[in-house]
Amino acid sequence: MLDGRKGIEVETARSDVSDSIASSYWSASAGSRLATLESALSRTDPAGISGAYKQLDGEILALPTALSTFRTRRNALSPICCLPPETLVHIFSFDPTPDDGKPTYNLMHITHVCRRWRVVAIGCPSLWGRINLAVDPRWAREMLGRAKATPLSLFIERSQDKMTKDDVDLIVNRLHHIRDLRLINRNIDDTARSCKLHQRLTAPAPLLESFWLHISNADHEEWLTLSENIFDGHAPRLQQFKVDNLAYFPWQSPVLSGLVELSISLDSSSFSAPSHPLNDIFDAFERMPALRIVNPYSCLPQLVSHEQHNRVVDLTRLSQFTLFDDVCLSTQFMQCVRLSPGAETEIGLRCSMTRADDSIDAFFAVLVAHLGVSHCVFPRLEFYTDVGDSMLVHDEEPFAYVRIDAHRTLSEEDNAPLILYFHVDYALPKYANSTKVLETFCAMLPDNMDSVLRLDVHTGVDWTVDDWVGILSIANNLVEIHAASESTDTICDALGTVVEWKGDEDEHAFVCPQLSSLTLSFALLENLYPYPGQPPPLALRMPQSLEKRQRSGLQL
Amino acid sequence: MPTIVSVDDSTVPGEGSSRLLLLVSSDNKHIVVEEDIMSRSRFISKQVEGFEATSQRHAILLPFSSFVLNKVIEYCSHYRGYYLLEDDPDAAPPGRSPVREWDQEFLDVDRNMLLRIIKAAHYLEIKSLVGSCARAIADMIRGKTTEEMREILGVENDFTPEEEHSPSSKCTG
Repeated sequence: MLDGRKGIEVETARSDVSDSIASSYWSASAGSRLATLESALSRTDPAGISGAYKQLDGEILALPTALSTFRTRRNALSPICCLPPETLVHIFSFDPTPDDGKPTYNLMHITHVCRRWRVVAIGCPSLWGRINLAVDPRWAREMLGRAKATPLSLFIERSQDKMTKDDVDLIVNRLHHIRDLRLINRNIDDTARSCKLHQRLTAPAPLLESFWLHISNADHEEWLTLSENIFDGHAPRLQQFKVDNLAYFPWQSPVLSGLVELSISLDSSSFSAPSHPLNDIFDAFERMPALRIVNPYSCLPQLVSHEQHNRVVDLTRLSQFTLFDDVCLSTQFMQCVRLSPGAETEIGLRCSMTRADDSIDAFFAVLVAHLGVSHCVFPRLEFYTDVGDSMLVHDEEPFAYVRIDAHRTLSEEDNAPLILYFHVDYALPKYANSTKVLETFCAMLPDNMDSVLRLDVHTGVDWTVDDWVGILSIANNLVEIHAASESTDTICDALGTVVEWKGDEDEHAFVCPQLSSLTLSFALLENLYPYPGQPPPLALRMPQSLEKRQRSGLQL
Repeated sequence: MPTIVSVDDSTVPGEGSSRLLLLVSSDNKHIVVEEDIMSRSRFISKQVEGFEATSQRHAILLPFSSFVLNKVIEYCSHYRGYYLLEDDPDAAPPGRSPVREWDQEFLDVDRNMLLRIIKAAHYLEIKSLVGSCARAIADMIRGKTTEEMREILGVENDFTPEEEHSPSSKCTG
């Protein structure tokens, strides 16, 4: 046998046994046994023949056992089988788990390799505690038996088939025994509502550390809500809580108090679903001292006209904060929270077209206020601005959006420049001129804020030459334009000759050498695309002798 | 238990800040190594504690070859002074050993050598090395069928027909 990696002959390879050795073996051992049958074979009486049959059958039946015994002895010489059980268990524990966290079934193959592996694997309950109920219910039950008292990690994901009552009963009846529970139902014809799973999670879950519930709810016929009495209020080890597509979240539940990570995505189509006032949400945050990651998505309550919020909620303990919601609700929320300068922050907002101007202006003011606070120490700050009707049209792409990502790269220098990534997709009819968003934002940046701007224009934007001139005159820190093919003509008209094409068939990007004269900080080019391991998508070709912040020679 | 033989002080030089240990492999090679390097091994550490209790110095006989022992020493030398969670006896054991790039290159050896290293690491109680070896072996059989696993690791199917068709076997579908 050759080792696959090195091509080295290994000692466990089956040795060549010549025919003569085999023949000798049989004449010495099996031959003597056969000799006892000679007399039986010559008999003609029925009783003698019957006895011979029995004797031969016995020999035939014994052979597999003998072969098995020989092979077991041979395996005992194999280096892998010489390893102590705990080391074998260590190897088996690396049952590959893909990125999505669902357990696979390598263990099934492992228990069928040889007797020793089966004995060791089955004798270690902790190997069997990660169970994917969606693969094969028979195996799930076999694994549950083998796991014994090991805390369970149960995963169930349904996309084509429906979640069965057995699935639900199995989960509900073992809540006290589960450490990690992940329930994903993407079957829009089922949504698990028939089983009311989301409402049956009311037993105590003393071992539960992580919980993720995702239920597709495409037809919106019914609000999916989590019970206020979830886990009977008792899940003292619960640290991660993630729910998607619910209409109501039990903010006052005591099981939230120990959370480290909370991700909530409520069904934004459920406008009239019951909701907690904003103060309840703030109260809930204050009851979670260990909280480090918060990702609320469409879960802020509708505004009440007389509602005033002057409180300041300290969220400086967060290391990551991602908010995506209606622009007005988000603005109000952001006015009340205090974030850590070091928190990785992403804020998305959604507004209707009819109030885009006012909403964007208002929210930019809040964003810039946070940006100003973080000027010296924020390592990274992202803004995601979504402008369109997506709030009203569920599950559809926004009609138009503008996105601004602002990154401050990790640097030993306190005054690392902010890198703004300005992304535009489709025109904004109400705005009449998409550049207004950029203009508004640039106008609000503090004068002392060092920033570098990239502009990314995607398919469908129909900017005029005047728009482009406006952009370039506003953005005196623009270093790069990245544009899609459909807008190329306009950009070419505006900026002149295309010098270099780069990209795949669907999306072409080009470099405009004129922009090199607008570049403020050529040295920062490598930071323009601050994603680890990836180079900047475009190379600007310009003389390195250009001084920073020198603006000259715009050729339009 | 390892065989411990008394050695003359002159056999093991070194007094002071960095003491030396004499390790003797199964092929009777004598390898002198600094105690600090081998402190990652719980087994060696316990042996050294025993030496201090008796005020005697010993050679430590180990049941694996000098080739394997040198590989283990190379590993311990690389991580000398590094804190690895798996080797901290006071820390809660991590669920799985983390991926360490250097380890992956270090363990890019033939299968038998890999198995010898993990056995030695287990004997010496170097949990981080056991973990890295286990990961490397698991990578070898990842996604493989039962038959392929047998082929890769040189194992025979020693099940009787009845065992092969046990109720749990039927579940493999």
